[in-house]
Amino acid sequence: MWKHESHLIAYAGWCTVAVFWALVSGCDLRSSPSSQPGVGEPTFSISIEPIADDVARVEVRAFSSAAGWLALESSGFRLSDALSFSVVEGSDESPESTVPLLGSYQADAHSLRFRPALPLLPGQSYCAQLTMASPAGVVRMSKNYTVPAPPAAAPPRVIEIHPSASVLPANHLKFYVLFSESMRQGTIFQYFRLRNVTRGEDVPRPFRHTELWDGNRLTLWFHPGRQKTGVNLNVELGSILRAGDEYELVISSAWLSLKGQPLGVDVTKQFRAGPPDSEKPAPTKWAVELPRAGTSDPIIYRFSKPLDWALLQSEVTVLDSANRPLAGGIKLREDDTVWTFRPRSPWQSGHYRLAVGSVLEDLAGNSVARPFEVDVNAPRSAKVEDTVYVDFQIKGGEGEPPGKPRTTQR
Amino acid sequence: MRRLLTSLFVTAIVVTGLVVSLSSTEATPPSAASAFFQNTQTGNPGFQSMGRMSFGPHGLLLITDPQAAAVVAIDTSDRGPVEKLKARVDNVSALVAGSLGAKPDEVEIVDMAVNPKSGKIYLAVHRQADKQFVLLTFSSDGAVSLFDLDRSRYVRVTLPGGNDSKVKNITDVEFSKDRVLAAGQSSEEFASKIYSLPLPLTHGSAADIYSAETYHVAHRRWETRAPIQSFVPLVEDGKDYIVGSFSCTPIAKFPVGGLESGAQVKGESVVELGSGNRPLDMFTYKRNGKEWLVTNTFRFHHKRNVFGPSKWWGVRINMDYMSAKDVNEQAARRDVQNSVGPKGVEVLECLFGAVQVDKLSDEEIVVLRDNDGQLDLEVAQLP
Repeated sequence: MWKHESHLIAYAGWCTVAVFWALVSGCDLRSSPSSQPGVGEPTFSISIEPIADDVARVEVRAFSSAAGWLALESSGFRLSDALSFSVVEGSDESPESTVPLLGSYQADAHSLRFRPALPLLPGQSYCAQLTMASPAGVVRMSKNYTVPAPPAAAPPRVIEIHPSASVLPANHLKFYVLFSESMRQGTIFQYFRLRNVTRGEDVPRPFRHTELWDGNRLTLWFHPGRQKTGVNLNVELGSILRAGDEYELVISSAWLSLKGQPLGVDVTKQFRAGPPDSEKPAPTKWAVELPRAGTSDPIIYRFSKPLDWALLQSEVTVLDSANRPLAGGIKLREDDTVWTFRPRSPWQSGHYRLAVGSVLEDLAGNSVARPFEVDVNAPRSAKVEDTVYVDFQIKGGEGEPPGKPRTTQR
Repeated sequence: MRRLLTSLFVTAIVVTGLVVSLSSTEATPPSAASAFFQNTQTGNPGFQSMGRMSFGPHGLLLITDPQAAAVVAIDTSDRGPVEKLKARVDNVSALVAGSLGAKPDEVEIVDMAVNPKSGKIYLAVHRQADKQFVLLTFSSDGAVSLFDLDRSRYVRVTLPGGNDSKVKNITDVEFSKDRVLAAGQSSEEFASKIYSLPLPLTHGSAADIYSAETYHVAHRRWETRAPIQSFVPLVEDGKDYIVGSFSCTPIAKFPVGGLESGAQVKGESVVELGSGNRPLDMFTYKRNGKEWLVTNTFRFHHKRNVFGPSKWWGVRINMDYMSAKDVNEQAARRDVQNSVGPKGVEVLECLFGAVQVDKLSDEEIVVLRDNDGQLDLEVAQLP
């Protein structure tokens, strides 16, 4: 649909230019407008050409047989009112958007050139529109350009969802969702829902609407205000999870990757809510299986409950006797209840220590330093330093028992 | 005769062109960057993302880059005079999307900031389809333009950890008396961080970091490490504070002066606005000898709107509440059944539907307002 209002200025401008042409060329302005230019009247055309073979970067050109563009430009009229390039939102025959793309104009005697500021989007159609007055009447013409859609690629996938456990505490706090490629970001929460399978209903507004992306990994939080005892949201709405109920986290099939491909299928994570957890993880109580010197067997720590998948990989390290971090690989097993570390070089007999950052959390946000909820009226527990150390000895030789770990804080 | 008319016409065009060019020329003041920046860079700051923004003095614009865990300060050279938006701009989403060659559902308006020196409105916009972030401006006549980042004078200050930082959400950034303050949220541990960037901002430097915890008035427990959603700097009796708001929605005051990097900061709750609200923007203004704190919030869990036609609403709070000592559990609670109360806490009609708001002056604000699903941009009066 043409919007005459937006072209009034251009119309006036080109009428002025038309007068100019009339004066210099001797046209009779009293003749009735015609869609066909007469002898001596200016003719117009539009072209849209990719720049350097990049189909997303184009130059739109309007040509006229008469020299008028420079005059139009220097008279202060908006060139976008004469030549605009806009998104086609409706059908090609009836484009709805008349908002011109931002970009730069360049005029010379016979042509007006426009280059969009940003690359055009794949699969999107655009329309160049030329509107002006000439001695033959108002001339309007348009030309469409569609950026080829990229060849159909494999749909994006959800690779992993953590925690992987099938039972989560009723005060569970967050999920990590790993995608095979970048997803469209900015308005993602429309694609998530939490279903209480036991009661056959969706849980209203369970997520904190803050997008936390690390590359292709999303951290998805339950609203902490609903997971904290006594916080107003928790009191008024209740907690998000009820111990004993079955749940389903659903990621919608409609979510597009950055390349524009939808997930294609709903992705679900099923779990049951267990009792709430308010206990701090206690590295000193972790069971350990020590390897023998001379081997590259992993050291294995077992926890009494799943801990945070991401923090287990960044906050737990092995130090040698000189307190240098040991090179090696961490693996998590059994729903993140087992942490293993295999050194790059074989273990030596002697003293090592496990260094655990006190920000390490369990699934309910209880960290080594402090529980998720601290009752200020209760006696304060001893302050935990930033790193908790668990010492252990590696021993070698047949029949020699592995060392027993002991703990220190620093 | 024809020659005479032609000459007159050409003269008219030249004069028009001169008038147009003269009206857009202004005296160039000394560089604000030289006073506030060190090791200033020229060129494109290379944003990986754009988040919250705010204006400082002399047209200096702070823009967060959460993906890079950085704060970028740009000298916009936009120093006035003030020419505020003359008329409401309707359907800004469609205008912004069309300007960027996308459909309205393919762009996200991330944040809005108003330069009080010029009245010009700046929008950080995310074109989702190809993850492009751009800075758009609205002039007084409502015309939208692309801010040319390629030739900007800027400094980039990295938050601790840089690209490896776990902080992937910088919830707010503001100029304070002698520094820039920022608040952030980790993508892993449940933690709130306050960052301090000393002035002059030095390109390539790293910020000091404080942790923060605050007391939540709705229960008798420490609101451990809950992320600050938005804040304003406050100087009281010569001491530096920030007044921050949280998701559920206490407003708390944190001392940030004289702290060493890595220090723990304990905040004090001073006002409770009511549950189920997400705070969005905050600023202060003065009127008739009183100073007010204004914040707009999004009410996310009520099925019906208690006040106003929209889930976006806002209040003003007498700043005297910020001076209260040792309040916490006794912090003032907004009367959720009334638009006014307790004394000095008032729901503002000018903030109904306010998705984004920024202060233009002590008399006026710029509001990006939700009107039945359409976003309109307008100047509104403060009471």
